[in-house]
Amino acid sequence: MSTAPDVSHLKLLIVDDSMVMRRALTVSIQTSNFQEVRSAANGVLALQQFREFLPDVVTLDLTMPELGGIEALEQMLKIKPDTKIMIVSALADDATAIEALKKGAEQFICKPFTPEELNQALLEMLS
Amino acid sequence: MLTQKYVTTHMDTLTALPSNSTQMDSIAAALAACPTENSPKPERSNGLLISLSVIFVLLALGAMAADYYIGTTPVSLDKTQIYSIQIAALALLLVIFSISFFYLNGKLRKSHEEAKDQAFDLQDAKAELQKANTRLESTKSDLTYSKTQVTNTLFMLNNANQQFDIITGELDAAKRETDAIFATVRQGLFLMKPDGTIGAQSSVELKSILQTSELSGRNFLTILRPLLPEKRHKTISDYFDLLFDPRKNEKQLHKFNPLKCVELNFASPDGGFQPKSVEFVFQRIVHDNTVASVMVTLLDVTERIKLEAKLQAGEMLREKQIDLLFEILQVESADLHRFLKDAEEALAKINGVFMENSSTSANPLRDKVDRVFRLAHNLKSEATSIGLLLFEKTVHQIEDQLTDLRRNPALANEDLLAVLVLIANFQAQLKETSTMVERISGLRHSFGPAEVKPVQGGAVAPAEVKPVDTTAPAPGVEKSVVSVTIPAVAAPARKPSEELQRSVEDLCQTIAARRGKKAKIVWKIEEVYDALPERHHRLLQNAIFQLARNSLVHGIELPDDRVKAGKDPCGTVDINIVCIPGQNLVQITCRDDGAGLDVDSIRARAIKEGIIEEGKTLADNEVYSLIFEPGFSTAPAVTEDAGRGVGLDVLRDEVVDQLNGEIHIEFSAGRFCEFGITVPRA
Repeated sequence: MSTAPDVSHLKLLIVDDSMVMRRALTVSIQTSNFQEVRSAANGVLALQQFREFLPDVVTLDLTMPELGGIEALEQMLKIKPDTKIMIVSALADDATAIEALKKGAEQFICKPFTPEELNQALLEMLS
Repeated sequence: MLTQKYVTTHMDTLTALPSNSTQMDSIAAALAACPTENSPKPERSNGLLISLSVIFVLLALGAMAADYYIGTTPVSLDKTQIYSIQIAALALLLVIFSISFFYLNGKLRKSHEEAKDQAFDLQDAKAELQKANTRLESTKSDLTYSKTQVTNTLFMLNNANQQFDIITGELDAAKRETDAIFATVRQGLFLMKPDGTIGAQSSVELKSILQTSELSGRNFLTILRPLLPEKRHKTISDYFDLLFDPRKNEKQLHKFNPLKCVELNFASPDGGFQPKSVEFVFQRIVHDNTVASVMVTLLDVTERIKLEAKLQAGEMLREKQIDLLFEILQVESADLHRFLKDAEEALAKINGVFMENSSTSANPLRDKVDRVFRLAHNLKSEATSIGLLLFEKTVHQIEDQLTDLRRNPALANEDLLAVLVLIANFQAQLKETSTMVERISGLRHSFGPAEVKPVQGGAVAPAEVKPVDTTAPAPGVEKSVVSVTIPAVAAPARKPSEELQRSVEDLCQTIAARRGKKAKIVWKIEEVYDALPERHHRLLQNAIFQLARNSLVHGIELPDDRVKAGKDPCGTVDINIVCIPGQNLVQITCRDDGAGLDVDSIRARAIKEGIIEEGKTLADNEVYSLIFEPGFSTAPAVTEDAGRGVGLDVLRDEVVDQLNGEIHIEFSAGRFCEFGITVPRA
């Protein structure tokens, strides 16, 4: 990561059904730099949070109970079209990635990821 | 070229101009030469004078004639009369003269005025002509100017034309270079337009990769469509859309390129498909924040992929060979040779079964499959017993395939092909093992005489090794070749009973280890066994393998469960082979202190398999008969050791049908299970 983007005015929502993964994302992204950070454990909760919180940046898992990531993505962009959404998924096949990108995701990274990989994707997304 | 033509045409017009100008000059000169005075006037005055002179002459002649007339006439006139007449004549003459004069003068004046008018007209005409001349002059000068301009322009155009020629030349050279690149580049190369069509130029290799000559202007996706699986179409179409979306991250697009390396299936001229592995690279060309086109590069990597697969297969084969080598090194050479011999025989029998043409059975194919199954199953037991786990695995695969066939109600000859392929693999593995054994024995020999580990309780024949002096090999013969004689191949090493014990113990050890169980085998073998014919040994060994396997898998519980049940964690399997006194019979019993038969489980399975109807109660003896049904098993999943339901049916076939024997079962739930076999001695 060359230079860290200024995220102090941005709100971040982390969506993943695994607590370990939410923690890994929180630590890797250095969330303390963001104005505010929230997290959600499934698609339905994520949408609830999204409506209240209206975040600028979202990291989104694809395979989640209740509501899948792709559907959540579509609904989020309907509510706030300029949201920057990064998919963080264990499903790494090109068809899934292309579908997500086509539906408006900005970045798609595969689990397991390194903090560098994640931050590089974040930098590309925010610049 | 066009400019050149234009210029030439206009040059012609311009060179025609000077001649027109000369004509104008001559017209003007002619006009200038016109006289301005009245030229017809003197001619008219001359006419008048002549007329007057004629009149005078006539008058004079008249007077003379009158004089003459008077002088000759007899009439005498006095002088006064004569003078009067002369005066009258003169007066008349004067009058006539005056009238003529005035008349002529009037005429003259009129003519003069007319002439004057004409002179004025001429003057006007001259002025007009002069004006016209001036205008002509001006036009001429304009034209000259224009001519200069045109000449200048022409010059510039000529210059431009030369420049154009130079540029055209450069462009031609550039195009030739591009053409050369497109003709020689080893990749398929073209530009894809936003509408998905292929640009005007593409490399020759592209046509070769896609096996089509008409590419320009065609939609690329349409060309790919028949070459790829249908489910990929949407992904690829979506991907192309993303490529032309300038907001999408290029790195991401490279990462998720669905055509990174794909197999394209081209229709083969002789029917079927001819696959080709192709790598695609997409590079966006961006102008003013829009993706103007995408450069697509295709590389045929079929050979590379084939090579990679070959390398991988080679690597796997090498690993397998190493595993095989380790196994071979761990297996007693006598066991190994016996197994190789048995396997060869079994394969010959399997081939024989497959080759059989006529059969009296109602379902000959099913019958064949069953028979091959039994042969394979016994072979597997033998492989397991001596620790040849690779062979065990291979035979297990054959069994899997045969199980599928047994379940197939509409079995056809073609279905056997898959089994034949696996059997061919097995044969190859056997051959490989034989070769390896030869090499190993050669190696052993080159390091010194082979040592064969003595087996407990067994008299092992020493390995038959030709003594070779390693320091002085026979001339022309290589050491490793000389020592090919395989140890212990010529004579069986042990008594059949010892052979049986060791094989069954090895088998049980393998299965127990695999299933986390503990068991010991307690033997009681009377000499009668060794005296039985070889055919008995083979069939009874298979039967005992099967019973011992059943005890280990189904009978003996896991150590923890045994402790909970108040038993020793190590189970016991008693195998007795005794002669029934007074009768020419041998009795074999295999009794384990395990859980006994689970009648409920057998019943449930039988209902599930549709062998019995639900709700029907079964007597114990009916339950026993179920476990001898082909394909019946209570094991929840198929493993190397159990679950196929072959075993007891094989046992029944071999013991009852082939050895004319009998089988009995005795068990107590939670305590023991005993299978007994009674066969005639010969």
